[in-house]
Amino acid sequence: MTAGADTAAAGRDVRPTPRRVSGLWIAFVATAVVLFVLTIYPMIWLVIGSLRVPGGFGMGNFVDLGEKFAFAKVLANSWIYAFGSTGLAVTIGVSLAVLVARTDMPFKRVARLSAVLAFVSPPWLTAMAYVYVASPNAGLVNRVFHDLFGVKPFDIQSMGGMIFVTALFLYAFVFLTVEAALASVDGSFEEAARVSGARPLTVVRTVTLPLVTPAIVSAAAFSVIISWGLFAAPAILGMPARIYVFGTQLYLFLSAFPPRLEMAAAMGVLFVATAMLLAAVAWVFRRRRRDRSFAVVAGKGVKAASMPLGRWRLVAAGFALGVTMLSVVGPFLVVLWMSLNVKWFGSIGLANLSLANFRYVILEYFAFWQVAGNTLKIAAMDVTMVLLTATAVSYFVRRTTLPGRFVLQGAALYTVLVPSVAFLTAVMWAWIGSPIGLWGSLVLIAMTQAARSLPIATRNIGDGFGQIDRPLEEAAAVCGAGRGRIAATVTLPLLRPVLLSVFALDFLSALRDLNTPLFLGGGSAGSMTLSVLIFQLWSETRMGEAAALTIVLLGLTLAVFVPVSRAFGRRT
Amino acid sequence: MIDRRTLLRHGFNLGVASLLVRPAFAAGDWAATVAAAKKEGRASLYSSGIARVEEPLMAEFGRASGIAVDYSRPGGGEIIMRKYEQEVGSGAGSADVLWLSDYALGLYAREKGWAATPDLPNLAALGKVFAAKDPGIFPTGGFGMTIVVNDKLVPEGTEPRRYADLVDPRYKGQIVFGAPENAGTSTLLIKALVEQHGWDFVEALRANEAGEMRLQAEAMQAVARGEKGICVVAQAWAFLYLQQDAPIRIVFPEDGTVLARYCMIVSAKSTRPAAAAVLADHLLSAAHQKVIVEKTGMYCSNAGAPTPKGMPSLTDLRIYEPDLVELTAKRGEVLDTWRKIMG
Repeated sequence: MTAGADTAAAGRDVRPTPRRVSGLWIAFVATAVVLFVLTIYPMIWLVIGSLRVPGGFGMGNFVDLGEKFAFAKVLANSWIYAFGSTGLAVTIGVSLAVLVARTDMPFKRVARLSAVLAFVSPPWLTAMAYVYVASPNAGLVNRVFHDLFGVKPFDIQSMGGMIFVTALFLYAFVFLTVEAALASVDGSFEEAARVSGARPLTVVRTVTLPLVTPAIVSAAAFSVIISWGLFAAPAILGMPARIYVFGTQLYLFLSAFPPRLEMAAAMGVLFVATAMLLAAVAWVFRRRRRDRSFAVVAGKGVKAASMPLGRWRLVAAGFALGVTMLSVVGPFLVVLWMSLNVKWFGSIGLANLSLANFRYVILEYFAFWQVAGNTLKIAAMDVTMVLLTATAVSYFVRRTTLPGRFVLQGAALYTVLVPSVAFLTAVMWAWIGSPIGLWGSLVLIAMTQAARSLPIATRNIGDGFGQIDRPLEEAAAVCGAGRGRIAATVTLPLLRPVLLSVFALDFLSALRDLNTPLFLGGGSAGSMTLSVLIFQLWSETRMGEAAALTIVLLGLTLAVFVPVSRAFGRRT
Repeated sequence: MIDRRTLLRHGFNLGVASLLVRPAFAAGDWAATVAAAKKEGRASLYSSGIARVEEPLMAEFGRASGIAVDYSRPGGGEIIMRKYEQEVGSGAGSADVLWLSDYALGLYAREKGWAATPDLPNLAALGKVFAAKDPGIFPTGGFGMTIVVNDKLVPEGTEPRRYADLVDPRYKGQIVFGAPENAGTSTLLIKALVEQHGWDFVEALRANEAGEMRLQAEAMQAVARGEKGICVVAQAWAFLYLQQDAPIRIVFPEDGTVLARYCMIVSAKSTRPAAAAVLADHLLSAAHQKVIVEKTGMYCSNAGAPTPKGMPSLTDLRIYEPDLVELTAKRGEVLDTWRKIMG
């Protein structure tokens, strides 16, 4: 062949053989079936349930929502809470991610570790720790202020308190997402700006942040949706102050006796409709940016040099340590103190500290190993389903021209619009009474968690695909590699940072998930997870034992995360 | 027209009649039941009691009897009933024995056909106050719904002495309840308050800024810590905190303490009926209930169980018991109206 013919051949897509086409279609159909079971089937039942009224079907549940349950107020509270938490979380998370990934700030490992610990820590436990610290009358800080200055300035049981505590959990998600994106970005763009004389802040503002804008927007959008679906922090901090958001209102419907599944379904449907507004805004934003404009993982990459902060180094360190103290160290010290404490009133001193609570939960509680095993099994099943499905969907969307691929993507992404408690309602409607008999099983819990994690995973993996420049794969195609080989030897290795990030996020999320096993698990230890057990212990005011088990859960999490982090091979 | 109350009343009468004509329990039958139970080897218990007390007791029972107990405390009686109903409805396995915090929930379970009627030897040992009246519903004892106050925030002599005092403006913003959706005893209390004072009383509570925590346990904790001054909870929570030297004291309301009668049902859907019966019988035994009394402050049903230490005898208390049949029929309505007023 002549050089010209070689060049022409390289510019054309390799025509696939019929065997490859059928293999691709089989994978496509299999992915579609999985998505239908995970995400579509329950939501069909949610709509059916919302229209179920005595005697048949109708709009009565929606009418009752407006007339009997102050839906407008719940809606307003939910938006204030979600956007307030997200705004604060994005500010903290992005700032910290840039400082860690792009500057010579000290304590980077501390910042990363605290983000992981903040993310894995059950949000409700952080809320309880802050109740002890900042509840309006008996909170520790308020008592100190009262003794010193005669005032009690902090009230964590308020909308502001809810936003603050939730942001301390959400920032970690934003940080991990944006930092992973920054790690994948070719540093030569920033290097070029610096060489051209741009000041560090200018480089960050005009080069660095725009390059990871998709990650920031995704993280922000998902943070809003996550906070919409949160239950624990609003229940602990908001309910005493009569502040109800979607999560707590849905919980009340599901907690009613008999459960108000129809009202919960109606609220879930309405909530999805209002969340579509956010989705439309995000979609318009993304339409303006084609994925090729973010192709910054190219054939030759340059790791970005750390920007010297100079005299601001200490300020940055103070910021990182401050976030660490508020989100992790402070609450964890409270939890640690509680875990070592067996006496709560009267004279409390170091003499009362012991390991009795740890001894109880590990050695004496009859179902500890079973519950721990359930937790790991569910997380493993969840992650497997998520990685396989999300990677498949992203591949079909980004690397094929199969008709219906965007429908597939939609099926993987749309559950982001459904708050977790509403999706749980949908799953209840779908699987209670189903002949397949999944109700109360670990598999159903894993399926539900996977369905909830798919949007984030699909988006992140899709962004990862978008950052891989096509010529890398086309070069392999020119050399005769088929789709499978290209994916295995070129695409997936380049996607490794994103896949590991998704694995870490999803596994950690599964470990600390409370809502799903709480609502879908059976009543016995057979389907209980560590988070549910912690919650039950806490509900019985067995604070020391709950705190001890939290420490155990965190240890388990680190046992998973540290090896993954080392495999990821990131250097500070 | 035959209404639900009439049906239940007739059912009650028939049940009593069937009890009266039942032949005396035969020891040989029970021995066969115990042998069968050991073969089954396992029973599952959903309890709305105090888990930290019951867990080791169930482990001890398992070791002594050879019948392992899968113990779980999903939450209050309503949470247990909800889980049980969902599990039974979906064909999944569920509890063999349910220990419920509200007798009305036992009536509900029996109405649904979920309550088996095994012959339990310890039924004959129940005291008069908690005698068995309804077949399939086994009384296990009760708790008073007490007013609990923080010593520092509500000095001695200034505490509310009656439920009616809770609307006194002196206590504005100081009172906290547990959400009734999560505790049968809270729902029972609301029913009693409404029966005595009407829904206007609840409106007045709301106007007095009475608050709500998700659980009675959280309400009790808030008072023990000094976050709030007053809560109305099952006496067990106060008893537990008194054992921890919490600065609280208990008031048994003088206008009639609401007695939350606990009960137990043996699931008619159980796949281990013999083990379930043996476990249920053990839960009614004097030996088991003495420990429950000592550790939780519960008034227990076995005549051999003592009065909890530091608590008044039931015969010395003025007791108020709401209409359980009506509560069974209108539980949803009670919860809805409470939620509408309290927000």
